Amino acid sequence: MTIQTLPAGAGHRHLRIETAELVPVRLVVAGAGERFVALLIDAVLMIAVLLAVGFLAVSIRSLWLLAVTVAAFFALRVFYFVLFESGPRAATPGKRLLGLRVVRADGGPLSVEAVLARNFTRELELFAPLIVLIYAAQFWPGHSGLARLLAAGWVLAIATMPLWSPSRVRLGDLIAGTRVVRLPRATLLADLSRRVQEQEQPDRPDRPDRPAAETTFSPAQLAIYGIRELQVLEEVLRRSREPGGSEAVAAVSKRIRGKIGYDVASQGELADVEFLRRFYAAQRRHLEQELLFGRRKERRRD
Amino acid sequence: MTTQQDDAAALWSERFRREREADWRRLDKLVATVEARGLRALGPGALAHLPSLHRAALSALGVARAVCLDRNLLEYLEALTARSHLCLYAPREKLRHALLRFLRRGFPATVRAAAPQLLVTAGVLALGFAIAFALCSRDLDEFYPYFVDAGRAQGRDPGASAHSLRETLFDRDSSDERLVLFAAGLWGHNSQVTLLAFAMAILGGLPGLFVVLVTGMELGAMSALFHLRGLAVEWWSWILPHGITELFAVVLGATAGMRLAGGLVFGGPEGRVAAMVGRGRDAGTLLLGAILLLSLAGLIEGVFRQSVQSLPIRYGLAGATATLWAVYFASVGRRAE
Repeated sequence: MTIQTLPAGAGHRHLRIETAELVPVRLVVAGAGERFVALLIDAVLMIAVLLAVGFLAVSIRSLWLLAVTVAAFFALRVFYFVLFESGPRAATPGKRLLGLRVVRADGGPLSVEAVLARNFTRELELFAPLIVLIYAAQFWPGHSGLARLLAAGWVLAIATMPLWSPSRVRLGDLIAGTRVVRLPRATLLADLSRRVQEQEQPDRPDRPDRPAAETTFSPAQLAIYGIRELQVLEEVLRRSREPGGSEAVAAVSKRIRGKIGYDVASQGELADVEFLRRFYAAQRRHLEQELLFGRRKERRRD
Repeated sequence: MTTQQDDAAALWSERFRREREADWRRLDKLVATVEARGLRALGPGALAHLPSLHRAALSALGVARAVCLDRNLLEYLEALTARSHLCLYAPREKLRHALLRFLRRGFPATVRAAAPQLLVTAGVLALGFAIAFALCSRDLDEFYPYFVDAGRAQGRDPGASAHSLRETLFDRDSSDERLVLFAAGLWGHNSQVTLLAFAMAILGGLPGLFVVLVTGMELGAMSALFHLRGLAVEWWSWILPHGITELFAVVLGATAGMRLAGGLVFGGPEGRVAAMVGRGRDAGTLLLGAILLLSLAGLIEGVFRQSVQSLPIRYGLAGATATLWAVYFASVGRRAE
């Protein structure tokens, strides 16, 4: 199984996992901002727990409980994450709230060892700014200024790794071979081309391909646009009921009519939405056929 | 101008979806159940279907990526296959089983595999000890402050008399509770030091050795102090019971980091990153082991060190821990290898 991170359309990075079935699965890599917010939520939770236990310990004057608090101060910092990330959801409460999850970069099952490894390096990412600076000053007395600067730069690079690394990894992720991804969510909506046919053929369900009121587009008209434009059109149609949708529909419809040279006289007068729907259905039919013959037209200019 | 070929094209994608949509919805439901309640929530029938539905969805995805123009459908299939992949490859080992496996096999085996590097790190520790001991024995007042900082010394410095030093080794009235608090604090501190050693060691290996060297030197300097005041036997009876475990933990931490750095620098059969990642997972095991060892050491240090006063018992305890670790790491989990 190989690891590949690819930049994808909407500004999100994808983690590509090769599966045994040879069809790669794609997951969206979580952004640095999301991970940071999840971390903040977790930090708040941990502090709250520590404060609660500490307060309880002090108020009932139990030294044992205080000892537990002291031990927990360290233990919680590491084992809070380990416990949750080894669970079935592979996510701490902070991550879950944001819909994130820890996965193994090569797609295999996440092992406890990996979770441990990715969390033990947090000390480095937190302590490093302090420790390296101190040592740099003490042991390179002649060059303390430069050494400090270099050390600071190095440490800053590690601490901000999620911001600049291509797969948005922390040092711990890199070492343990894990990634943090967004949980995929999608709903299957109705097929847009089908709606056209059904609307036009309410009483002839057995002949979906030759509706009486179908608009025909010439091959020249259908040859202009490519797959990208078709998908943009799909997006516009699916959002036609949302606020701003009808303006978009009108604008796109006008543009397409102009581009393809739609002739109202021979092809019929249509409302904008209806026109777009029919054009979508026809264009898709055309492009699919082209695809089946091995001709893939990605964009208008191809 | 629709033709027969156009009909076939429209029917094709529609047919593609119609044939498979029911299976996708079934998969969706199964996956939703697993996500909500885990794999156990599925009955045996459903559990048997999950992999085949997943495979079917994957091959549909492969086809869709090539020829499907409905972006919503494509996104749906991407999300569905991603979710079902995560369900099928979810971590299945319960945490307590993982812990048992770790104690019975993982930890001792990893330690055995790392034995050469452990010896090197231990050697560096011994070197630091030897240097500081030799220098301080020669001239205590000059070298001592260089190796031990005042905060950690807590009154154990060249200025202190033999009597006051002896007092630090045999404190006669601490309550149990305070000892436990002390132990907890120590454990936290020592674990941080170990993780620091690990962390520094990642940065090329040598910084980790440096931390180990400094630890050895600190021990060497203080040992020299107590030796010169004639308290050698008492000093070692105080240090050894918990010290053996604690020093071993620090050595483990530094070695884990070194091996990681070594993986990155020297690479392996599958490349540097894979080598580093493989050793990274081993590092997780070693560090967890180190932290567990430190909790034991902390327990011994916090509770027994001050309350058990007799020398023979202390030395007996030291011998017991040494034997315990020797036996554990040498022979536990070997049968499987």
